[in-house]
Formats: sequence, C-alpha cells, structure tokens
Amino acid sequence: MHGSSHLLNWILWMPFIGVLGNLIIPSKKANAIRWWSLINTAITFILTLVLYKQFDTSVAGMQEAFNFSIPWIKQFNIFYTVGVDGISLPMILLTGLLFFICILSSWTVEKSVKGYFALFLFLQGSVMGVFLSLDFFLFYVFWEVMLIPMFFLIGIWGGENREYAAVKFFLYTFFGSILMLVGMVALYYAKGKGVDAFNILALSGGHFTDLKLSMFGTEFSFSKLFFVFMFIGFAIKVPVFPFHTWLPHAHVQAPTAVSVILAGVLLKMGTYGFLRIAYPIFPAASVHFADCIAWLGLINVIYGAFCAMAQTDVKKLVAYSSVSHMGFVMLGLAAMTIQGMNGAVLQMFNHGTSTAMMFLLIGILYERSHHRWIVRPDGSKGFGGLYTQLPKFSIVFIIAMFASMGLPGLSGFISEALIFLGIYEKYTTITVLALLGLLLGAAYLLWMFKRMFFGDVIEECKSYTDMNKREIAYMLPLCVAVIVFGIYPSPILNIMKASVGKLVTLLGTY
Amino acid sequence: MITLSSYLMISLALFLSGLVVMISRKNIIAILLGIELILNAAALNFVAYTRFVNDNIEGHIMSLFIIVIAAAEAAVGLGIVIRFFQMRESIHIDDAAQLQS
Amino acid sequence: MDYTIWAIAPIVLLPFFAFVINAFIVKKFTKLAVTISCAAILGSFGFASKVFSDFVFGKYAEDYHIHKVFNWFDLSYGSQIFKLDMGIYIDNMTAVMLFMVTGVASLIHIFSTYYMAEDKRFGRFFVYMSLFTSAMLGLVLSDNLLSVFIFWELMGFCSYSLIGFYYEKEGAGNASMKAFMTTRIGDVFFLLGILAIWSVVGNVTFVDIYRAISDGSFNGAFALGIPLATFAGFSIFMGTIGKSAQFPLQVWLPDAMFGPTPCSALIHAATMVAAGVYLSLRMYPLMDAGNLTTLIAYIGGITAFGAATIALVQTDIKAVLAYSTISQLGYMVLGVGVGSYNAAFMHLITHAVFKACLFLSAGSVIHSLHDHHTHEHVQDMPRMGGLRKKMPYTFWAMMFCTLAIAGVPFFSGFVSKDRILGDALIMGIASKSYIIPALLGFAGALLTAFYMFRMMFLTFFGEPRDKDLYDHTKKETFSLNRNFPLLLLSVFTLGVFFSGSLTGQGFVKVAGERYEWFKVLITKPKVEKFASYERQPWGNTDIKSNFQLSKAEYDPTYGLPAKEAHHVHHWHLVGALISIFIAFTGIFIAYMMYIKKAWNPGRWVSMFTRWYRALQNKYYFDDFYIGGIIKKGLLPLNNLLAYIDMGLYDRYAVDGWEKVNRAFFTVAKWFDNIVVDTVAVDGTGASVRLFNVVLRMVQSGKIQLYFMIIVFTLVGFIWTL
Repeated sequence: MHGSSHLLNWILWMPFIGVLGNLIIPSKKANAIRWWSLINTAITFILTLVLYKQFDTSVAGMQEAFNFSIPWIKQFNIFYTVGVDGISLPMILLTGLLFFICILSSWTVEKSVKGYFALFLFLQGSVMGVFLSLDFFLFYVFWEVMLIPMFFLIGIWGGENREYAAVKFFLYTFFGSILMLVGMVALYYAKGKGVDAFNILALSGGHFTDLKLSMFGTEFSFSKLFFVFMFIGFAIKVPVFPFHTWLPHAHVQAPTAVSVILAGVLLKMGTYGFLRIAYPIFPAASVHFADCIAWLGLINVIYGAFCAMAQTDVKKLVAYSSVSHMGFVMLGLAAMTIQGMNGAVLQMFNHGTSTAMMFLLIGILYERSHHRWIVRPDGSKGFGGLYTQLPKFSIVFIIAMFASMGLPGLSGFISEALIFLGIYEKYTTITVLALLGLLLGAAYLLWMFKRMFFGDVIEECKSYTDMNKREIAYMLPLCVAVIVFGIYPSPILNIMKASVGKLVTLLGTY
Repeated sequence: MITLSSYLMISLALFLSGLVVMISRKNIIAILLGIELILNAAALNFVAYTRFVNDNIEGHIMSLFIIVIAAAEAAVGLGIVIRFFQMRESIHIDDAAQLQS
Repeated sequence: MDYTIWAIAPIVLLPFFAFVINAFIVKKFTKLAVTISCAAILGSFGFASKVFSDFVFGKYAEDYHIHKVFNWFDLSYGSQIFKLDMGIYIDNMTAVMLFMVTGVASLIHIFSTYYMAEDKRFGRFFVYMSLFTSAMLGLVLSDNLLSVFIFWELMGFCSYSLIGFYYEKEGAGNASMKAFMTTRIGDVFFLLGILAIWSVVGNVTFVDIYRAISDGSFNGAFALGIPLATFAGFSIFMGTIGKSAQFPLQVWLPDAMFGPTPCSALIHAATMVAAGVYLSLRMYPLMDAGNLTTLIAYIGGITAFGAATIALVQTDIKAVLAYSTISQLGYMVLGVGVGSYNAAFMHLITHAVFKACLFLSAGSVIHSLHDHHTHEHVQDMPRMGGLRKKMPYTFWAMMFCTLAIAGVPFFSGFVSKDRILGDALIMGIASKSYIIPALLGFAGALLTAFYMFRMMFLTFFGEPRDKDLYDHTKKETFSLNRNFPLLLLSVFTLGVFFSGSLTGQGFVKVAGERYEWFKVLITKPKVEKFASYERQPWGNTDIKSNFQLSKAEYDPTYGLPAKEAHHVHHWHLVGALISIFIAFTGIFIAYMMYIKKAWNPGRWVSMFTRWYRALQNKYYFDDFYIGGIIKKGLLPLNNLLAYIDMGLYDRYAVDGWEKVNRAFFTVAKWFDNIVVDTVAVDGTGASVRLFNVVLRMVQSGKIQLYFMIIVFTLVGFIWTL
C-alpha cells in the first residue's frame, strides 16, 4: 500500500508548513504574514486541483496511486494512512478553495495577525487531515485537533459574547467526539487488535452485523449500539436537530472567515463522517436507522427554516438556513439510492460554496456597518435601500441568495432535485413535507432581502462604500462555481459517482 | 614502603581539613576551597584504589572526571558568589539564609 | 428529416447569449447592450419563423414532431441506473408557441426602446428581458417536465427582478416578493408532481409520460393513498394555478404591475402566465387520466368570473388590464377543463397578441401623461379622458384589442373565446357538473365587454377630467419604435388570421376539404400514438411521420351520427349567438354609463356597498393571506419556534447541563472541602505542624549547620556499624 505519490502528504502538511512559517516571521511584519499565508493556501489549492486532474473517475474505491501508509504507533497497530476517493475529493477541493478565499477575506484582521493566520492554517491542516485520513485513529486525532484552533479563533477574534460561544462549541463537539472515541475503541477490540484494527477500509463492509454485546445484563446488537454512538458524534457536527444549538452561537460570534469555514467545511465533516465511517462500517444498522435519519433530516429542514424566518440578526438567519440545508443532506443520506446519495454529496459541496458566499457577504457588510440587525431590537430598520447604495454587492448577494434557495441554473437546485428524486419513492410523506422547506427557504431569504435592500436608503447606510477590488476578487471564484456547477454539474458528479455508487451498492445488500 | 593505607591516610587528612574548612569558615570562597579539598581527597582515593586493588585505568579516568567537575563546579560556584556579592555586597555565608521559611 | 440542432438551438441561445454578454457590458455600453438584446430576439424570431412556416405551411403540416435528446449527467453505477436527459421537443404546438413568443417579445423589445429610454437603468432592463425571453423559449422547447421546471423557475426569478425593478420603492419589494412566493407555492407542487411521475415512469419526458398513460402504468399506483395520476396531475395543475394566477393564487399578478409596463406586457402576454396554461395543455392527458377536468373547469370558471368582477371597480388602467389577464387565463383553464384543447391553446395565442398590445398601449398612454407636480407618470383613469385626439395611433390600436378581448365578431378574441364557451355549453348540457363553470364563463364574458369598454371610454372618450394634465400632454406623432409594435399587434387581433377566413372555412386543405389551420395543427395529444415510441440517440433527427391524422381529430362532428352532429353544431351556434349578444350588451351598458351618462354607476355602487367594498379589496384575499395566514399564523409560529429553540431548549436543556454540573460539583466541592480536605488532609497537616515547630529550628537556612548535621549523622551511622 506504499504508494509512489506524495501528493496527499503535500496537501496535508502544506498548511502546517505555513504555520511554521508564520511562527518564524516576526509579528510586526503583518503584511508578510498575510502574504505568506495567502501563498501557502494558494499552493494547497493548486495541489488539490492537481489531485483533481490526476484523479481517475472510473475507480470506485480508494485511488491506489495516491495512497500512502506508514506505521505510526506500531504497538497499537496505528498507521499514518492517507487516501482519497470520490467522496473525499469534493470536500478536499472545497477546503482548498474556501481557505484560500478566507485568507483573502481576513486581510482586514488587525488583532494579533500572527496568531490568527497561524491558527487559521493550522485549522486548514487539521480539516484536510480529517478528509484524507484512512486510519480511524488518525481521523480521530485530526477531528479533535481541529477543535483547538477553532476554539481560539472564536474565543479571541470573535464578537462580544465570544467566550460563551467558543466554550459551547468546544463542549458540544467534544461530547460527540467522546462517543465516537468509545465506538472507535470498541471497534478496535472487536477487530481483535489486529494490524487493520484502525483501518477504516478494513473495518468497512459490514463485518459487525451479527455481533452481539452484553452489557448491564442485556444483549445489544454491537452494530446498532455503536452506530448510534457514531451517529451522535457526527450529528453534532452536522448539526442535526436536537444537537444544533451550538451553531447559531458559534456563527454569530465567530469572525467572518471562521464562519465561512464553519458553515462551508466543518459542517460537512459531520456528513462526511457518515459517508466514510458510520455507513460503510455499520451498513445494516444504517439501513435500520434510515427512517430515523430521514425524520431528523425533515425536522432540520422545516425547523431550521421556521427558526430562520424569525431571526432579526442576518448572520443568525443564515446560520439557521445552514441547519435547514444540511437537513437536505441528511434526507439524501437517508434515501440510500444513487440519486439521493449523489445529491447529498453534491449538496455538501454546493452548500459549501453558496453559504460561504452568504457569510462572506455578511462579513463585507459588517465591516461597513458594524452591526447585523435586519430589524433592531427597538423595531427600527437596521439596513435599508442597500440595492441603491451598493449595486455590485447586491448583485453578488442576489446570486448567493438564489443559489442558496435552489434556483435552477444555480448550484443548489441540482443537488436538491437529486435528493428529492432519491427520497420520494421511499419516503413520500417526508418528501411532501420537506418540499415545504423549499418554500420557506425562499420566504425567509426573500423577506430578509426585501427588508435590507429595497426601499429608500436609510441615513445610516449612506456612508457605505461598494465592494472593493479585493472583495470582488474573492467573491468571483465562488460566483463562477455556483453558476457553472448549476448549469453543468458533471465535473463534480463524475468524480463522486463511482464511490457513491459503491457505497449505495453496499447498503443495498442489507 | 608506600602502601595503599599511606594514600588513604593522606586522603583522609585532606578530607578532614576540607570538612573543617567547610564547617568553620564563614567566607563562601573559603567554603568553596574546602569543597575542592574534599574532591581532591576523593580523586586521590580513586587513583590509589585503582593502582593497588585492580590495576586498570578506570580510576584514573574517574579522577580526571572529578577534576573537570571540580573546575566546572568552581566556575558555577564563583559565579553564584559574584552575583551574591553584587546583591548583598557581602560574601558572608550567614547572609545567604533566605531559604529559611 | 433534415432539421439539425443549429436550426433550433439559436432560438433560445441567441437571447441567452445576449443576456450573458449584456450582463457584463451593460454598465459601460448601454446602447450597445440594448442593440444586442433587440438583435438577438429578432434573430431568434427569424429562426422561429422558419420552424413555424415549416410546420404550419410547409412540409410538416400534420402531426410531426422533432425530438432531440442529450445526456445532462449520468450517475449510473453497476446495476443502478440513473440518467438525466435534456432535450428539445418540437411539435405543432411548440412551433406556434415559438412564433408567438418570439414575435410578441420582439415587438415588446422594440417598444421598450421607446418606453425605457429615459430610465436610468435602461440597459439593465434589457438584460432581464433577454433572460426572461430565453427562459420562456427554453420552456417551450423542453422535452421534459424537469427542464420545464428549470425554465419555469428561471422565469420566476426574472419576474422577481423585473417587478422589483424600481427597487427604490418599498412597494416594489413587496410586490416582487409576493409574486415570487406565490408562484413558488405552485412551483413546489409542480416539483412534487414531477417526483410522483418520476416514481412511475422513471423519467419525465412528455412522450414517456404519454406512453405510460397509454400502457396503464399509472393504474394501481398510489401516492399517499391517492391514485397517482390524480396526485401528480393535481400537483402539476397547482403549478399552473401559481404561474397562471388562477384562483386561489391569483393575488400576485395585479401587484406585478409595479414593474415597468413593457415587462408587464411580457409577463401578462407572452411568457410567464402563458407558461402555466401551456403546461396544463401539455399535461392534458395526465389530468384527463386523473379525472381532474371538472376541478380544472371550476377553477377556470371561478377565476374568469371573479377576476372580471374585480376589474369592474379598478381605476388604475394597468390594474384593469391585470385583472382582465387573470380573467382571460381563467377562460383558457376553463377551456382545458372542458376538453376544448384546441380553443384553449388558441385563446392563449390570441390573448398573447391582444394583451401585449393592450399593455403596450397602456404604456404609451402612461408614458405620455406626465404629472408636473409630482414628476410621476399618471395611471389613474379618473384623471384621463378625451385622450383619443391626443394619441390617435394608440387609441386605434387599443380599440382593436378591446374589441378582440370583448369578443366582438371578426376579432380574434371572439374566435377563441366563443369556442371555449361553446364547448363549455355542450359539456354543461351533457353533464350537470359543468353547468356552473359554463355559466360563470358566460357571465364573465359580459363583464369583460363591460369593463374593457369602461376603460376605453374613461381613457379616450368624453371630456378631459384633469385639464392641466391634458394640456401638458404632447400630441402623439408616429414614431417607429412606439407605434409600429402597437399597430402590428393590433392588426393581428383580426380573427381572420386564426380562423383562416371570415366565414370560418379555413385555408388548409386536408383530404380534399378545407379546414382552419389551427384546428388541423393543434389536437389533443393522442397517448396511444406513443405506445411504441423509442427515443433516438443524440444526433439523429427524430421526426415521426407515420402518424396519419384521422379526421375525427380536427372535426368534432366527424363520425357522429347525423343527429348528434347536428346537436353539436346546434349548440355551438347557440353559444356563438349568446356570446355575441353578451358582448354587445356589455358594450351597451358601458356606453350608457360612461358616454351617454344615462345610467349612473354611483347608484349601483350605493346599492351594493358591501359588494363594492369587497371588490375594491379584491375579495379580501390579500388581507386573508398576508394579514391572516402570514401575520397571524406564520410569523407567530416562527417566533414561537425560535423562542423555543433559543429561549427554552438552548437555555434550559442545553445550558441547563451547566446547572446540573454546577450542582454536582457544589456537592463534590463540599465533600472535598469538609470531609477530604478539612478532616483527612488538614488533620494530617495539623499533626505535621507539630513536627514543623521542631524542624523549623533545624531549618535555619544556614548551610554550615546543615553540613554539621550531615557530618554528625554520618559519624553516628558509621558508629553504629
């Protein structure tokens, strides 16, 4: 399994090289730090594109050409194994792109620049690690390590209530991680502590379907019990109702770029966990709990949309919209058909781009207004007439908004349509109710848009300046991605369809 | 006839005089000197034993080590004395009783 | 046959590329952008004309169709197959639609160069127009419901942008959002219908749906306990209700006039609302199979009549036209419901022509009337009057169209509407359940004639009621981009273009007899024809020429016994006479009220005050939807849920863990302090302290004392040895 290519290693460790560089550059040279980080993320992004170019779309499993494995802790059979397949590649591309863009958008951060960029690159490295790891232990390590930079990024550079949000985020996710850790250890013993006891690929395939476990005098099904453990661990990250309440706090308090990463990449780690770990390792239990996942997804869609409509803080509104949109991913995962699953993975990617646009735009607006009220607590308008005042901004906002609500021609539509096509036959009632989510999704976004952008320019908004060149530069790639993948989704679908098809085939046998 | 016990007697004399100096003198430098004497006594013992008991080179090496350690120790000790003098303008040993709670 | 893709694709691609190019250059090169848009739509019109003439006059003048498919994406893996194909489907109906849409849109584009010239967002308007038109053309060319849905939604977006075009106005924001949301309700149902059909057919191509209907795939299929054909048909019809502004989702269309007038013309005539009816015509076999025709007829009848009554009391010239659009769409839907397929589609076309003309004429009037005090254009009819002399061209164009919509013989509206009403009458006589829609249809026709002439009389006849405004209005001189579209459209309101000849004999020869071209070309989709249909792979032109039309398909009396044929003819004739009578009655009432002033409309108003108020408030639909459902139902629900989420769930259930933990660690702390620390640990400490006192004396810090102790200890130790 000792592959010849070190590409994945480069992708994984490039951000850490960036962290080292940032630590070496004296903190007074803020611009040098910014440029170094930008170049570093650019290189990572280019490397991910190279990976995309060399990717063999006909292979369903891991791409042998890129696999890399060496022993890490031999005594416990822990390996450093990285690999890529069609499910992880879209996420890797998304990570590469969004971090590059976020560095550009963080140009205006002034508070201890060195620490900020170092932590940011550290975050990128650990996120990449999660998407690339094929060793469960390595996966877990990166999963946990990722919390550290997040905690500090929210807790130091966040809004006024940042400590509360950071601690909440940390504890919530940590709670899930612990359940996952239990599952991981259980699997390690179930597999007999052998050479491949932590190897995700070796664990997958439903080896534990008939295993029983005796606990508290009752007999449990091993796979069902630990599927639930894993489910909770990943569901907190997604976040699935009722584990979602960290999200609004974290989003509202986090600085712009961190919100973007949080919504754009970190939420996908949860659903990626389902696709990489929970589903392949416990296929029978996944099929058994599919109804439950579908209903939770439905609750996410509807409940998130309803809550979003009541928000007066625009960032909170978009945060709840993420809850709603991730519900669609859950629905697609529950479908377990190729349409639904492909739709879910595509929705992960598309939601990453569209919601990143929304958060970046809100960040741009916040830099001008220093508040985010659609309606202030005293009932007066927070914004008004932005369409007149900021024409370029408004056009990009419209693209982002309509992509987010799934307008055909923009990226959200195809994934949502695929998810619905996948789920309809199995869960007709849920589909009918989930379609309500589409309606509500349009409602809260348009209502927000109407209140902020139409009408006369209110006094306070008259001093706002339109987007500058840097801001346009980093919005442009996302606009292009949203439009191009809305019209022609094949570049993304082609890379994922074999891997997703393989997973669906596996699930289909139970 | 010079036997092992002759060496040991000299060594003992050196050790005792070093001990007396260490206990009785109040000057820190003198105490350092006393320590040197004790170390020399030990070194002499090493050489004597290796010469008379089993005729090999290990004791010599050990005494060389002791010389080096003694030099290093003197350097550190004198450094501490200088810092101490700068602080207290004194090298009286009873002035260095701050460790007492 | 020899149709290549490059003869068809430009129809939709030209406006689309115009949109793409203009989106980038419009800021700097407004004039160029406008030129590109107009050139693109005219070019598209050229290609569409070729298709139209080929299908109608030329080689294909029977039941041919072109079907080209390409693969959009393919997710198949192993035994699991999932392919999504997109394609182009052209039959006679498509050809006529293409011609109508491109033609009307071209004229609207030309008119817009006059109407919008002084607007500060002149160029941007054309950007949206190009996208709008290309979306509609894409919809018409689609071969499957999913791509119809895609373009359908795109049109929703365009209408959102155009209705909200004057975004400085608060009202524009409300109107555009209302339009988008209301149609979105229908769209969501439409998507549901697509999903339902997909589950049975495995595809949503029209021909495959027809085939599935013919081979009985829908039989025995259920969704949520409802027969699937009914479920899917109803869902798709909900799409029509939303897009074509039928009862009860009609509320958005009147508000759509917040946009610039030419965009209203485009929405009301050629694109948006036509799409809804077009869809239900395409899906007629499904709705028939789902036994939905009665429901459709009722919806159509109610809309046709209800909207007409509201139009009676409107004073805004565009509002009258907006309600007349809803009413006329009601007729089309009624036509679908009573199985008058051909006439419903014909009314779609004739209505597109005269309604485009009416809106453009209204635009021409509004644009000329400029209030010098408020610097706004005037739309209120009470401030108009006597404008006939000021703008003769507009007047005559509008007059022709009004005659057409009122159903005066020899005009297009008569030809199409009369046929719908005639069929409704026959259906009503044949089956009791259709009586009410038929009666509503006739009553609506009366009202239509009345309110349209009321509008004409108030605008163009009589004495000017706002003298100041009238005097400031310039006399209309003929200008190409203002008057040419109006006059050309008004010419095409003549019935002869649609019925073929003045006497209805027609000029298309089939099997030795002369028929009207419309009747020959547009026939109900015969699902049996598609039973053995096989799609050709991409690149192969796919024209089926082997369907010989039976005469029964365009001659309703063919094959019937002489008595029944007479019966049908008889009732058609009765229907025609009734509608002629009704039209003239309506015109007469309007004449007596507004020209002769013999009858005072105020008396009617005071007689039916409550009804009058209900009409002015549009039957309180807006109050019910916005004030009732949204403000009283949806928003409190949202706030409640948000409160439960953050205020209760997060605060108590999630953060409550902190309290629980705090309680735990308070107990733990107490135990730790009292039991462990004070008793056990500090107890030990106290005993140690005793030694401490002794040891303190030893711990002098004097190093020589320590030496002494070491030495004595050693000596003592050695001593004991």
